[in-house]
Amino acid sequence: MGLCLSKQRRRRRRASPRWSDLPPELGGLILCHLLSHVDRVNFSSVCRQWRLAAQQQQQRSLPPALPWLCSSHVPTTCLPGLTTGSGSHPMSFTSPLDGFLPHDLGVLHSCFTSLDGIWLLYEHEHWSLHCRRPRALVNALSGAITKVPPAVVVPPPPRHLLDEVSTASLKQNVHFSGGLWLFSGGGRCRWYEDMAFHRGKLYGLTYNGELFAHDEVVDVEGGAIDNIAAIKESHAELVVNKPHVALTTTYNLGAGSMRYLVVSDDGKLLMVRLGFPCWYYFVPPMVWARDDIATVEGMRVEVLEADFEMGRWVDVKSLGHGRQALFVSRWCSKALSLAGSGDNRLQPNRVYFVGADFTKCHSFHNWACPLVAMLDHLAHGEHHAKAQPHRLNVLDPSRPALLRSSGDDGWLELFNPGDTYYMCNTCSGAIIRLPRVPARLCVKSSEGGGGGGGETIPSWSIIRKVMVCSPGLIAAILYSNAVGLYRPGDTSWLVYPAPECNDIGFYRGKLYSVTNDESLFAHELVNGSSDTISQHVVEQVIRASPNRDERRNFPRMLYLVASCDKLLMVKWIVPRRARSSIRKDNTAEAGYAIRLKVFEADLEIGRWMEVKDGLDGHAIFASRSCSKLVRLSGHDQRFQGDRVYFPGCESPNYRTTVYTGDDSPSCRFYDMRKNTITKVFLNKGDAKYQQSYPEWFFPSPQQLCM
Amino acid sequence: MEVDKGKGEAEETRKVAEADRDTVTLKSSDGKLFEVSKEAAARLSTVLAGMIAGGSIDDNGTDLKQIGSEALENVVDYCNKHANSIPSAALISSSISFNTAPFKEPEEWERKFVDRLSHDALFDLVEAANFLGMERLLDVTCHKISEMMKGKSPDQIREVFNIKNDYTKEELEEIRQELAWAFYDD
Repeated sequence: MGLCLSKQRRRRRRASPRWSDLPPELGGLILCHLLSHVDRVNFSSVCRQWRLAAQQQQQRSLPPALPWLCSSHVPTTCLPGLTTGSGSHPMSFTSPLDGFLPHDLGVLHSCFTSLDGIWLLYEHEHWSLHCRRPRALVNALSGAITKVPPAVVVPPPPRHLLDEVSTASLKQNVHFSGGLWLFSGGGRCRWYEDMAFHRGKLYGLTYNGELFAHDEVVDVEGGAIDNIAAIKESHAELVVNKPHVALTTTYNLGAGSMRYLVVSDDGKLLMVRLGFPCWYYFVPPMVWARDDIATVEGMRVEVLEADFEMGRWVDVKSLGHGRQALFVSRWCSKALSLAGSGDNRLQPNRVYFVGADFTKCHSFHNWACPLVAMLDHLAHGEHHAKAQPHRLNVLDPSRPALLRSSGDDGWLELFNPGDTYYMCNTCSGAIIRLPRVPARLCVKSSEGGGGGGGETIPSWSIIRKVMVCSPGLIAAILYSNAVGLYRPGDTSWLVYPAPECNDIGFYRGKLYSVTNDESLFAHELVNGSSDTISQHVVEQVIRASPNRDERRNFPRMLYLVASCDKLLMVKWIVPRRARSSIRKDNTAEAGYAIRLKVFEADLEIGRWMEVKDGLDGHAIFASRSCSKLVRLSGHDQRFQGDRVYFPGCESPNYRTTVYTGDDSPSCRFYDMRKNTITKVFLNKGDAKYQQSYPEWFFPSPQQLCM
Repeated sequence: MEVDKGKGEAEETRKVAEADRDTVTLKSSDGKLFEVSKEAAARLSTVLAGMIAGGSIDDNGTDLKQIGSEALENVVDYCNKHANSIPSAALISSSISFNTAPFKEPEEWERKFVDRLSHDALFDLVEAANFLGMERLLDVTCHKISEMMKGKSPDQIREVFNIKNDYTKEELEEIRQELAWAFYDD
C-alpha cells in the first residue's frame, strides 16, 4: 500500500500539465486502443481537449467496443458464472438489504455483462409512486468508471488473480450440484462446499468444516480446463479438522449454514461461516434498520483461520490488521485491501456476501445479493439516498418488459406482454416503437419453409432478430424467416418473404440476408411512385452453393458479420452423424467433427471465399441477435484473436427451445488456429436448458459524447 | 535469448553499415546529433523515408526542430532496437487483410522500452512518432498510454496525467445528463 502511494506521488510530480493539450489526432489514436466502452466514456470526460479528440475520432471511425451482455433475470442465473476466470471479484455496491428498506438506494434490476466487466443496473423504487427509475450503472468487477463507489479501485495483486483464474476454471469443471462441488481425482471423490488455491495447493472445504489439500493440480492456460482429467492424481489429505463447535449448534436443530474459503491478502487461508436459523428457509428474516445499520435477526457470521501446524481453525478478530475486507460468493472469493477507501460502503473488516448464494432458501429470493457483514454484527454501509433524473426510464414496472433480444450498437429490443415491441437505446434511452407483425406471419411455417404449418407462435418470438440500421431504418427477421424492413413513421413492416433467411447484416449502407443454402441477398427500400409508398427491393448477390449434398447432411447455423470493410459469414457445421455420437471432446477426428468455417463475401464476383488463416488478430462475437468483428488487444487470456465466440445461447435450426447442448455453439468459442471448441461459462455451468438466457449487445459508439 | 542473438547480428550489420556510411544524422531542436541506420529510418518512419528518397538529408545533421533531444534519443534508440529484434511472425501480414488497424501486441522489448519512460518522455515520444510518421512506434506508445487509463474514472485519469478539470459547472452537469446512465454522483 505504502509503495503504491509513493509511486503515485512520484507520478504526480513528474507529469507536466501538457497532457491536457494532447493533439486531438493523438487522443483519437489512444481512444482507439481503449476497447471498453466505459473507458472511452471516461476518456471523453477528462477535459475539453480530450473530449474534442473523442468527438473527432468518433466521426472518423472507432473500432467496435467490447460487447455487453444483458440478462433479464440477473442475480440468480448470471452473476455467479460471470466471475468465470475473470480474476476479479463481483462486488456490488448497494446496500445489502435491497427491497426491504423503503429509503433504500435502489433495486438491482438487471445486469449487463461486458467483456470489460459486469455492469449492474440499479433502479430506484418509489414505493409510494409505484414507479422505478434506473439510477446507477455499476461495474461489478472493479467499480472503475462510475462514481459508485466514488474512486475506489483496488486492483487485486497478480498472485490472487492467478489463483482466482485457476479456481474459477476448476469450479466450472467440477460437477456442481445442490451448492456442493464434487471433486474427483485419483480414484476418489469428495463433496466440497468451496475450494481455493493457496500456496500451490488446492484446498477443498467440506460442509462440516473439514479442509483437504490436493497436490499436483495442473492449471491450463486461459483459465479453461477441458475436463477434470487436467487434475492429475490429486492426493487428498486431511489437513484441518472440523471446528470444535459446529456453528449449527448455536441455533435450533437443522439451522442452515454456508461456508466459504478465502485466501487473505497476507497469505492466510480463511473460512467464512454464515449461520442462520432454519425458519429462514420459509420466512424472510426480520430486518431492523437503524440509521445506517440494519440487523438481520438470527444471522451470524464468523471468520476462522486455518492453523496448519495444529490442524485446527482459529478465530479471526480482524482482517489483515484491520485493512482488509472479504468478498465472498459461491464462485469466487477474494480478500481486498480497503484501508483508506473513501467510500463508507466499502470498509475493511467486513465480509461482503456478493453472490446469489441465498437463493436456495426460498425466502431469500428477494435479497439474493448482496449482503454485507461486519465482523461484529451484520450491517450495511452508509448510502447516499438521492434520486437522479434518468433517461433510461423505459421499463414500465406494471408490465415487466422482456429483454428478449439484443440489438446492435446499444439497442435492445424490448417486449411488453400484450403490447408491441419497441427498441430502446441503452445509453441514450431513445425509444422506437415497432409496428405489429402482419398476422399471416405469426404462424409457424412447416420445416424447410413453404407455407402450411398452422401452429400459432407465441407473440414474444415473432421477431427473431431486429437491428437498427440507422435511425430511419429498422430491419428484422420475422418468425417465419422473412425479412422485414420498417421506417419509423410508417404504419407497417415491408416484408420480403424469403422463407429460409438465416441471418441479416448491415454492411456499407445496405441490408444483406443469407439463406439456408448460403445465397446472399441485398435488400433496399426504394421510394415508389408516390412518396408515401416505398418498395422492398431484393437482389441476389451470391448464388447458392452448388454442393447440395453437404447442405442436406450437415445441419448448421449461419451468421453474418459485417465490419467496416468486409462482410463475413460464419458457418457452424454439425455433421448428422456427429449429432448422434457426440463425444465429450468436440475435437473429434475424421469428418464427423463439428466444424466452423468463416467466409468473406466477394460481392463483385458473387461468391464466398473461405478465410483460412485466422482473423488477423480479430475475434468474432457471434449470436443470433448481433454479431461483430472485434479487434482484441490486451493480456486477457479469455479473449484472444482468431477465435469465434458464441457467448450467448444459440439454438440450432432444428431446435426451438433454448439449448446449450454439445452440438450447439452456445457458450463456446472456436479457435480457428487450433480447430478446437472450448466452453465459456457465462451462465451457470452445466445447465443444458436454460430458462433465461443471456443476450449480447454492443454499446453504442455514438453515445460516447454528443 | 533471441534478443541477444539479434544484438550480435546487428552488431555485425552495424559495422557493415558504418563501412558504407549507411546512416542518417538527425539533429534535435537543441542541436544534439544522433545517428541512425538509413535502412531502419526509412522502414520505420514515413517522413524520414520521404526525406531520404527526396535527397533532403543533410550530412551534417538533418534538422528536426520539433523534436527535443530526449525524445529524439528515444526515437533513435527505438529504431536501433527494432533493427535488432527479429520480426515476429505476427508482424508478417497474413493472407486476409483487415483494414481496421490490425494492431499487434507490443513485443516484450517494446513493452519494456515504453515502460521505462516517464510520463513526460512518453508524451514527447508520442508527439515525435506522430511527427516522423512512425506508425508502429505510435501504436506502441498509444497502447501504453491507453493502458494507463484503463479502468480509471475521469478523476483518476486527471490525477495520473496531471490534467486540470477545465469544464465549467454547467458543462459538467450537461455531461452528467448526457451520460446519466453511466455516472452517478452523490
